[in-house]
Amino acid sequence: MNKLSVNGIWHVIQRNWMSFKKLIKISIFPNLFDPILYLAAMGLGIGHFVGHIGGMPYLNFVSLGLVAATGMNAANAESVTNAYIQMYLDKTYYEMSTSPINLEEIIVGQALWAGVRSTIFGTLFLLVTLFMGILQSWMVVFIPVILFITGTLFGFLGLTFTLLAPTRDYLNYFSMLIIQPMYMFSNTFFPLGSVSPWLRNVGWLSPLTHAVDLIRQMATGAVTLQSLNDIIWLIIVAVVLSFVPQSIVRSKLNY
Amino acid sequence: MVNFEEIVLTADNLVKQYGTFFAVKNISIQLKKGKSLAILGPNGAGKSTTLKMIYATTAITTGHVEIKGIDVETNPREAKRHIGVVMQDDLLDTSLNVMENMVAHAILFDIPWKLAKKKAERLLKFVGLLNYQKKEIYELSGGMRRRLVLARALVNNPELIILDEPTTGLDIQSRHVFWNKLEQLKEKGVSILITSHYGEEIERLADDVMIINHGEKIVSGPTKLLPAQQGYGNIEETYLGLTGYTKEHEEIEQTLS
Repeated sequence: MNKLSVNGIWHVIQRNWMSFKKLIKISIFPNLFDPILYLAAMGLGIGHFVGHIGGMPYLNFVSLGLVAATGMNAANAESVTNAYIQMYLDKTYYEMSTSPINLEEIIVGQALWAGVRSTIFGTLFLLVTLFMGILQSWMVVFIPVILFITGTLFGFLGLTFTLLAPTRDYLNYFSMLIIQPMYMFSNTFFPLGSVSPWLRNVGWLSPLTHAVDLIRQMATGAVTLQSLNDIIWLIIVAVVLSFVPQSIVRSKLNY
Repeated sequence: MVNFEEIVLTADNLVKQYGTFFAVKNISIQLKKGKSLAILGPNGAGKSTTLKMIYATTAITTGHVEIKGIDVETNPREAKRHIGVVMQDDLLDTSLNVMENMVAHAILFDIPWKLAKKKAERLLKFVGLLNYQKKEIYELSGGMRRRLVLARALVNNPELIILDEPTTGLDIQSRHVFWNKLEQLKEKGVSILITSHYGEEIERLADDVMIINHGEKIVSGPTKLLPAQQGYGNIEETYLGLTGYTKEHEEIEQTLS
């Protein structure tokens, strides 16, 4: 692996921002439509029959779960579909690597950018919950930080799969077998405490579970020592995952 | 004052091996400031791989490359600050317009945003695209795209510009405009390393030429002298003769026509 330069990583983020700010208007709708649809179907629809979970109305429970899930999806889109286009179709990474920036910096910059996108779209959905009167604590100001860490983690995870995917079609497997199950089984729509122990353990392995828990705790002001464990868990997994795409990028991107 | 004796590029015995296959075998290059070298060879001869090793996007199996005395393997970041690269494909960011493509590339060289914009304006003027700075990439012709790629490659004031088949697919007018710009750069002391399939391009731009095939150098020498030295009329004939263009090929051509 080549040495990382903070400047190099920062320039990758700046470059992504240049493209993003031109496309932000058309990006908002697809990124927010999906969680709003789930919110309507699950929160308003099923919520009518469910009542309360863990002391909060089911609508609130689902809304806060969807804040984290929206962040995850935004990061996933950036590190899978967008990254694939930049790696193999537009070959933007190759073009950038003719400058002093190296491939490892591009990967780290891209994952951090996935974190930024997660923050932007997760926070936009958080504003939806604000208007719904769900947020009860000043600690919500820390939710964007959780979204950034979660998005960066999913950025590294997505980039790893994108680098390993032999063709574009394989990316669907990642979304279908990894992201969608996480979306469903990470305390998002129902509490993992209510399911069998093995499924609960699998759910604990999902980074989204920890992000969802943290966001619920911050939104309701119920932050505990367990919250600190969740933050440490997310940071450690993100750091460990960061080494995987960095170590394979040079052998996989053989232009 | 430009020191035309300064060595800008040194490549010693470059080898690129994929498994048991040798894409490049013992290619050596030395290029002085303001000088130009063309590498000529059939498709798959190892031209692009040689360039990629020089601009540090492909690992060198064995051998050594220095740009202005900086080792590209141990210090690629610093070495690449002195190079501009024009690749075979445009590789322009279609989500950005003309000016944004320039600035996006400039910031990768630690050039501050405002200065990047100023440099971009100057370079777009140089390649005749200043009036198109707000155009989207899809609105440009093939020739304009190539000139934009050239301008982008100059944003860091490189002392060596590396061009991989830069005018392939361009019409004659666009090709001549492109060549004019390269000649102007050369006069300013920029060294040029170019691969090409066009004899005319090489005769016009290159002081020296190296003909390669199957990853190996066949012959090299001054562009003006090499054909006569090898017993041919011009560069294209020399290339065809030395890379195995035979009677059989001529017969195939006649059959096709």
